[in-house]
Amino acid sequence: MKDRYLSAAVLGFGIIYTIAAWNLPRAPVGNPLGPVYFPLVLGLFIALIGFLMLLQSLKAHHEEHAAKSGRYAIRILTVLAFCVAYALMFNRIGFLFSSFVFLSALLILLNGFKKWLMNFSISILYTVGIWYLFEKVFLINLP
Amino acid sequence: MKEKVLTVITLVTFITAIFGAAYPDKPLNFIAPGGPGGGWDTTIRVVAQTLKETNLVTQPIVVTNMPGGGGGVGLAHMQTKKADPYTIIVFSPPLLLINLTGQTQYSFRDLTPLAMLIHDYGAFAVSKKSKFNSISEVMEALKKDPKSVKVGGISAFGSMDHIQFLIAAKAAGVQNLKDITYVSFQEGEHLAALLGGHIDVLSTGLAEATTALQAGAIKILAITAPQRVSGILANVPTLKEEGIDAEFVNWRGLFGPPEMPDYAVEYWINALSKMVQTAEWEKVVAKYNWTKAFMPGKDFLNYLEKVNEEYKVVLKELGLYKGE
Amino acid sequence: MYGFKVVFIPSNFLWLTLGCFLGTVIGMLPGLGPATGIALLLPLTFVMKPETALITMCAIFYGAMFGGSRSSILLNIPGDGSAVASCFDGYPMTLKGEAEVALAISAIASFIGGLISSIAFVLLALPLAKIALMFGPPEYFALMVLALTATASMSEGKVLKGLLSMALGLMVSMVGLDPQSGVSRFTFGNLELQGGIDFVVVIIGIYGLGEVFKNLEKIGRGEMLQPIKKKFGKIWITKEQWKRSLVPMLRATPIGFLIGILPGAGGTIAALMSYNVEKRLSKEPERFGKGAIEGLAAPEAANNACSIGAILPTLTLGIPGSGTAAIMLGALMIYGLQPGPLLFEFYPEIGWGVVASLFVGNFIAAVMNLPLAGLLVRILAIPPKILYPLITALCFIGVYAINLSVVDFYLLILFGLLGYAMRKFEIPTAPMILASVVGRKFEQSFRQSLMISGGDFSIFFKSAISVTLLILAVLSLVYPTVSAALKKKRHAV
Repeated sequence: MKDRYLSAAVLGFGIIYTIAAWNLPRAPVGNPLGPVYFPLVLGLFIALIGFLMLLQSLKAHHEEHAAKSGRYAIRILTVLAFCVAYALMFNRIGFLFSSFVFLSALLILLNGFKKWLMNFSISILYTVGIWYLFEKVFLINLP
Repeated sequence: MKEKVLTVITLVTFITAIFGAAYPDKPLNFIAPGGPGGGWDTTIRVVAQTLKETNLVTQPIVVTNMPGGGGGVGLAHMQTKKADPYTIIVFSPPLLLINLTGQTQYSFRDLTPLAMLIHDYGAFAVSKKSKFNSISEVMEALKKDPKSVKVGGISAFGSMDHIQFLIAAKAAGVQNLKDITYVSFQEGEHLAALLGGHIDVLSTGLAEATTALQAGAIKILAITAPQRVSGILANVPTLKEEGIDAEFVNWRGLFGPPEMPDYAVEYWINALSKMVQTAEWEKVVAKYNWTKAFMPGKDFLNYLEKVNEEYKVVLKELGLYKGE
Repeated sequence: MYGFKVVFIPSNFLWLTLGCFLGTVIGMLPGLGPATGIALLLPLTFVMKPETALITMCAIFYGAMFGGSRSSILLNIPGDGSAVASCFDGYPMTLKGEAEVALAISAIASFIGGLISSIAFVLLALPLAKIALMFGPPEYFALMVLALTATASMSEGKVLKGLLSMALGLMVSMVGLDPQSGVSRFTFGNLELQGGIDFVVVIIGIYGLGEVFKNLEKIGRGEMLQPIKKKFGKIWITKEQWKRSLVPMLRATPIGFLIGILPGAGGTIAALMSYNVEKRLSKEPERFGKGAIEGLAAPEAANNACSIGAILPTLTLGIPGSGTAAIMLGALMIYGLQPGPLLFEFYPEIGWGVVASLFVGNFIAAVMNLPLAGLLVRILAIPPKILYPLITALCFIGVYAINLSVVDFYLLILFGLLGYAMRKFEIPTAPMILASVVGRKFEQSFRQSLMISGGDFSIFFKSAISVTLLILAVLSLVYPTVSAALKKKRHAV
């Protein structure tokens, strides 16, 4: 079943990509279609793979057990939300503060709030260590 | 105690306000909009090195390569650095060309010109084993069949390496300029392509050609300068000597991002005008066969306006201009 | 011999050692590969004499090649494209509790690959440089086709999924300004995407963050509360393991070296190709991907051989064979040195000094890496619930170091999710990584060829090299299908 959904998605995506490729701007100089051919063929190629995978999955009849992953999905989504929040904060409030908060949040989520002292000291050590390495040794500016 | 701290703070603010002495107080970011080893890369690394050797700039300077789109990627990157006094980029004619051919929406007006530093020229090279021994022979072959000679270069289709060859071909009387094959290579691959016989003529800059000439692998047929240059290229004729009435100046200069603050612009014009008078600068200019051509901010902008019109005329004639 | 004198001048030797160490550290951090490492430390070398500077840069180069695979083996996060293949069997070995063996064989294989290549360098520098010139756009195109199809068809029975993965990688490489025409493609109006997506972001996302997401699931199920490893053995290998790995290493070295000589082909192709070769030649291909020692030894040897091969055209022809070599070439020119065959005549202390530093540096890096590995292996003693948050943070900062842009953060998250999804749907990741590394060159060499031929496709069949490569590519696609069919038949009978 899983493969059937996947192949249908691949097929659909291939078609969308082909259309997007066709709508790419034409080259202002040289062969106007030059930059379009490759993405176009690529889109059709993806659609073809999707189609072949669909045929294959229709032929195969074995049942699969759907793994229950509902609870873990929430955890993954939380981490994902932290990541996006980190990306949003990074330039606004600077590397030091945002990284500290990000790492602490992840550690609290996984390691538990009870070990807060350990969590916070790891976060501080990491943040300051990386900051020193980049700013002083590599001369890369962090916000 | 508190008072003392306060005084110090006031004093520091005061000094900073008056002299702007604090700038630059962070490492500077220099950008080469092409790959390592190319003309832009060489220029900006040499400038960074000279500024450091002469102690004109004491802050560390980090050079970053941002290749792609014939300079368009670097130009686009500068648009994200609006008003940042710590980012500086090097550019040359492609800055105008990629805009005129419609490859990028940004033009030189979307940067802050700091100063023009040097003139460089184009060179047309062939492999040592090539049957061509002069640029006129190449042009004759092209006149008979524009498809018979394959030209290659680093810049994209319609940018500098391509245009400088077409300008020469046009002056030599070649028809059907649009039919001439031009292949754009990644930096570092163009020489291999010429030596391996995958292209017949390489249209490139003097510095790049010099490197390969010293390695003993190529012949240089002509340069696009108004007169011969000194050094190991002294034996190479100009286009004019070969009876082709054309020249192409590859100017190079430094630019800041759009809306770069005035104090930063002033600082750089000052620092660069001092740099071009040093013996160290004299030495590197001679080494790379460049011609000194210092021109600060405002004048540089006027110059750009002028050459932009000139390129426009050429591109229109070639059918490559994509403006109004 | 003259070169060794140069290397053993105390200051040069000191810098060589320091360079190896710095390189190893840089190589271990995700996102900082050898190219970035040398670029970062370039200003440091301006104060040195040219030969010292070059020796230091070379040292950073091998150090990074040695270090790049550490995180692949221990954490399944490759530091660079060329370390991707080291994940396939290196990480399973760690999971089996053989991390010490894996680290030891990786250092030994790197050393052997490097040593043989250095000898080849000295003996064959000039004739081999000529091979690089025979590769024009059509030959490059054929080489890319072979690398892609060989990798996509590597997993038997899942060729379609392999091809899908390859297509995803090619899609990534389409993003940005097209070099032949300057048209911007799939950038959604975003300026920072015009430069294209850096493949290191893809690697860190798919492997690093993707791995973290997968493990979050396991931690949730309570499967991974204990550290991966608590007891540590000696970093060494047994005779039997040595026997298994020796031949693969010797096979992988020439593959890596030859690919290294070609400008722009690079370590990723070298490592993956040698892995493919070993898997195809093996009598028990089913062991691959589950911690087969020869599956780690081969790409490690190829990888180092490739990095030495890449220096060859740089010094002899002035044509850089890799991004890293290009930066070294740029540095040479800052010192006013003209690379080329004459370099060895005019500046013997530089030419031969570099060659000698290849031998000595290789040895130092290997010696340094054995005890260092002993330290590193202790990372595995950190409980996963602390280790994975740290890895996540490290992925982000590694990605930031590449372009100093937050846009890459969002790309990282996107590729992290994609990597997780690919693991769920059992889509192989290697073809995607390879495609995103070579995709741009793949397309460009195709279009350059057609431009040279004036649109005539026969150009791809004109040279013996490209025809051979294309035939190999077709065979690599057909072989798994045929061999699977044959197996079925045999079973049926």
